[in-house]
Amino acid sequence: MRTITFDIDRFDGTRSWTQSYAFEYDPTLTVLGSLIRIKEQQDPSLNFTASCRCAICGSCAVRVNGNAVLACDTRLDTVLKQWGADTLHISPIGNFKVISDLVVDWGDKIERLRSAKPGLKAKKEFSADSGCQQSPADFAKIQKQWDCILCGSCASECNKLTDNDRDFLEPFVYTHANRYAQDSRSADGMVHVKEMVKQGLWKCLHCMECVTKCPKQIAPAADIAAMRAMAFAAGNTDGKGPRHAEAFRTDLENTGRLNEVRLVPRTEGLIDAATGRMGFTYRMLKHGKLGALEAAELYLTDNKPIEGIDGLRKIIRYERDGK
Amino acid sequence: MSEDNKDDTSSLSRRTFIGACAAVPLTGAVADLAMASTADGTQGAAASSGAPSTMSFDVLVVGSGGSGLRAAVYAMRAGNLSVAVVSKTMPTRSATCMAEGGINGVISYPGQKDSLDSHAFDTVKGSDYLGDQDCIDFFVEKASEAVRETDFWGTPYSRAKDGRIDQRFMAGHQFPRTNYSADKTGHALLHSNFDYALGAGVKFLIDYQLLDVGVEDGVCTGVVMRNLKTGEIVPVRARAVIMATGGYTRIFWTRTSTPFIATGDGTAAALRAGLPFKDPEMIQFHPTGVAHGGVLITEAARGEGGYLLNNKGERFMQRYAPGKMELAPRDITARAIETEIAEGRGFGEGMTAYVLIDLRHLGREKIIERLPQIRHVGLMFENIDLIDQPLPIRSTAHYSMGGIDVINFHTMETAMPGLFACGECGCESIHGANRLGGNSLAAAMVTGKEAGIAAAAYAAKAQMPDDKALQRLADQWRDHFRENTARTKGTPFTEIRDRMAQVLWDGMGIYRTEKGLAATVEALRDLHAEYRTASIGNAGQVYNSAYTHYIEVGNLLTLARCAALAALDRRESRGAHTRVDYPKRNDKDYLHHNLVSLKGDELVLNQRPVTIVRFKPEERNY
Amino acid sequence: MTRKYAFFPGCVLNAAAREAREATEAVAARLGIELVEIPGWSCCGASQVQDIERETALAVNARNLALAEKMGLDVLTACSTCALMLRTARQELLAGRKDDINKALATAGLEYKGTADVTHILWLLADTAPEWAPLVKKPLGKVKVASFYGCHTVRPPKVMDHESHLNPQSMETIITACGATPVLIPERLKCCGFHAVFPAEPTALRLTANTADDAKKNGADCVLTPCPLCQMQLDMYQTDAQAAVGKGGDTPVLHLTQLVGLALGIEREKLGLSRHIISTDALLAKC
Repeated sequence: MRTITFDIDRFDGTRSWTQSYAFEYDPTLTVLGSLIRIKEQQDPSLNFTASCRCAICGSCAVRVNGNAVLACDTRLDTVLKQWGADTLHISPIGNFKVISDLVVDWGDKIERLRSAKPGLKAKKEFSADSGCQQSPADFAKIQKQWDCILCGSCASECNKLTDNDRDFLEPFVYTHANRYAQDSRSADGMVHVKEMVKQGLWKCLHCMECVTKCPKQIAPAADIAAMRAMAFAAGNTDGKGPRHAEAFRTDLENTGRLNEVRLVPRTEGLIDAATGRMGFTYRMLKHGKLGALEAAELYLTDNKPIEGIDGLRKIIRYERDGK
Repeated sequence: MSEDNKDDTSSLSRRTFIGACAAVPLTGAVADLAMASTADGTQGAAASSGAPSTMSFDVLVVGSGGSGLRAAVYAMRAGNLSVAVVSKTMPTRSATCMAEGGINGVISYPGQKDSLDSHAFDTVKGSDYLGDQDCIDFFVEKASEAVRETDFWGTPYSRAKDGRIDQRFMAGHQFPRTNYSADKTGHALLHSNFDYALGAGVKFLIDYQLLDVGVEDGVCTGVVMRNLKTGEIVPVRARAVIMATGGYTRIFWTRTSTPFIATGDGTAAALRAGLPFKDPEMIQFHPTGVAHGGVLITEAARGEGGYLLNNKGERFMQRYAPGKMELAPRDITARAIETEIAEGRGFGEGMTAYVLIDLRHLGREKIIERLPQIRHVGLMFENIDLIDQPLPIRSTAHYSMGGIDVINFHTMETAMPGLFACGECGCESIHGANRLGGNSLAAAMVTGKEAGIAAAAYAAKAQMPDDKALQRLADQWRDHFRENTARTKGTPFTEIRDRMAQVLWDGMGIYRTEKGLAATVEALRDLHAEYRTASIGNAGQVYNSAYTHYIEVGNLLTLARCAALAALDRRESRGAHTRVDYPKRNDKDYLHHNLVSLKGDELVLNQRPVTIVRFKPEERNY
Repeated sequence: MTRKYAFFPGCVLNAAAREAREATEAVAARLGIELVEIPGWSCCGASQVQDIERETALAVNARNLALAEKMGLDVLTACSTCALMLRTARQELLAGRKDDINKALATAGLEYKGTADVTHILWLLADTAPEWAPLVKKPLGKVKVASFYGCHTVRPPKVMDHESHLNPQSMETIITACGATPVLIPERLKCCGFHAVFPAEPTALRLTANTADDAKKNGADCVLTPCPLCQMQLDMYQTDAQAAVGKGGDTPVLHLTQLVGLALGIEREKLGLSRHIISTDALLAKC
């Protein structure tokens, strides 16, 4: 008999421990099926949540060896093969307050979701009495974002949230904001974007954990990017995030490549960069990371344009204006 | 360093806090508040005297599915009322999100041939004439409004080329009138209503389980709940309570498509509070669910040309519907599958017996392109790839037509002042003996809205009830927890749950007989007695999900007993209720609703005539 | 081992991460991998341009790929963000955007056909480890190395699909082939913070300090990463991170090719190891 072991993180409100449960290998089981089997055959005190058991209600996200999965939608065989082991560590999803065992608290997450200003504020030409009009193409633009089942997987391993959740929101909150920001029925998509700019939109680290973990193949990072683009296009170019991105774009068009020497002052402003980065710059020069002369030259005269810069500029302008 | 180089540690939490306060204008606290002001600005008497305070709300919605969220939004819109939605899970885990097909509602556009009358007739006919026709007329008009309104609120609907909402055909309808959002309409509606509720400032009490409804002098005074996070049992006063707790098909446990949490808690609490349970025997079966667990295999599998096979490899539908074969209506297909199993041509035995659905002849490409979701369900639940192997399936309980007796479909009020019911847990009756595809989401939207409006109007005039009855009930429940969790011996209650499911599937499933139902009534009574001495296996306070489930199973047993009694008494076949011994509908004796009430531990059955307005009952043929 | 690639150095290998470029080229030369720099390659957008002008970034990378196709070679890069940007563009182009974007390329007389693949030097070295392991002249038997993959090396797995994103082994394969000992640290698949070092500096510094400190606590002599952006972040900002967080501060951080170069016996000067901010002296003493 092949035995599978789940080492499950337990918590009873005061005490935390890890408990091992062994059960017979069964190729038909999902991770959720395994948890139910443990609860009903071994330990009724084990707590977890599950509802629809077919990947649409979002209840049953847990971590397997530190990575969020939707338990009902993940076959036991799949994770056993992924990790090449018959013992798996099961824990509650990350970046959530734990209530008990694998059960997490959604109360404050819902309050944070309110900051996306959810709910459509439709254009003036539409009404509750006659509904809205929308083209199939415009519906397609928001369809993916609406697949969100609020399972929390995208937040579980988000590097930014793990470090500090007070100046950043769960990726699903940004996705929620973006589904209204991009909706052709919205009177003003920027209502949602502006709020997200205030709440960490430019602080995403691009770590791609949200994109990787979403069981519905939504890309919250792309939603963050789409709202950054909207904010930028609407003239919200102040702040280090937008200025940093703008510096890349400017260099791309001017010479084809990034000018790293100019990047810092452009992002932070000359004064801030000069005062705040003094030690950093000194170290760079001291260790020969950057030649002083070379730096001065780059700062004053920029990179030499790449071969074929005219073609590159034509392509960029075509995309920006020419279509 | 400029501002965004520092950790922004305060502003976000402050904003969130302010947002939450603004969301609850009269209550003025953020989470799990112990006290709430009321519409007229007074505070609970207990609080002002310094005694332990009782939570109170003007309108309390129990259940956070489609109808509950919509009720809450409409109660908020009345203005100046404290409104909360209480849910035993995070709000979006309900059955609503599982609905795929769409939401019915006639939409006018140039060249439209459909009409409200036509939708009403189809619904009446679909109900096998057990639906109340005045209610259905009201329903179809409001369903059309609901589709337009939810579009305006943000529901992402699939679109026709001209920009209007696209509509599809569903079985039993004369016209395409099912508005949809790809194959996730319920999910889209649930989440757009949730978003709208968040935007409107509806407060949510998450991880609270409903235990009972408080009644004083025949008036609803609120509910008793268990705070799952702490284990505390808390009385909650409310001027108006809206039940929106969904259906009870979980009585069949492993043979239902609905979520684990759909355990009829509100219906059972209403029953204990003295209200009748209307048409409890009317439960819809879907012909195809996976053998292990009952998750739906949608009609698309047969629509695309899948075969149903028995253990001899025969396409057995030849015997039952030689013309339509696998495309026969749901009820005929469901009965055919059960007959094959009963006559020994299925596989396996007991609750996990099955027949097969075979898609292999469609070819790999068509399966991947047209039926990816069905293939995925097969992989998850049976570890079977439909490209290579046929999949074990069997019929599965799908929808509860019966529910808390609603006596006024304009207001969704019950016979108890202050208690309203909407969605699958209420019975008005729109669906009668059989619900048409696409009418469940429509009913959730319509009944939720009307309940919200009426409950708010009622709450604005009603006094905040006192909490004496609630305190008494809360004490009883505290004893209940202590006594029942202290037991270390006895049958594990999950075993009783599984036996209940088996008894019901055999005796009150797709085929019903006098003998089988009589035995079911007896068996359920015994199981209910054994349940009271069963073991739970966890005495902890914090999120004791074993005890939560113990209460759920108790509710299911109560509701199942009502259903079996009504099914025994209905000696005819109508809609989803198929009596082998009475194969014909009998309008002379049974054109009535069954109303089951609880007196002590005994069940009492009464009847009420069906309202007929325009459509004279005739034979239901398609 | 004779292999030939269209080399996409990316902006940082041309400037602040010159050491990685020097090491990459030296290792390639030693292993007989021919790297031909794509003439006129441009910045990949670095996920920054993608944020504000998505279509521009896509077209620019279509141009980069089209230039490589003209050489008849697959693309190789030593930067994980460049690899992700180029591979993402390729995936989008092949999934239906090609014709549209080719209209933009036509203005510069270019066409994207979809022939050139994009690979990472990490994957090439891991896959060919059995071939080059015998060429290791100076096995790093005393050196303990903590791998730090870098987000864009493995995520999102739909684009970076060379190995399991949950349980990758390519770095350990290479470390072992160099004769060194892999050390697994909890931070192994985490983020260094580079892409938000300006808008979310405190976070970036804490992430940097965590990794440096973790590697040290687990007995590693250095952190090894296949991404020059991670390398720069963890090296250049480690002093600031130490000042801000109070941990880390002296863990050397190497680009993958620098370690392979050491094992192959390439002179240290050619690997740029003297120009690191965090001194590599103690590490080199063990090599």
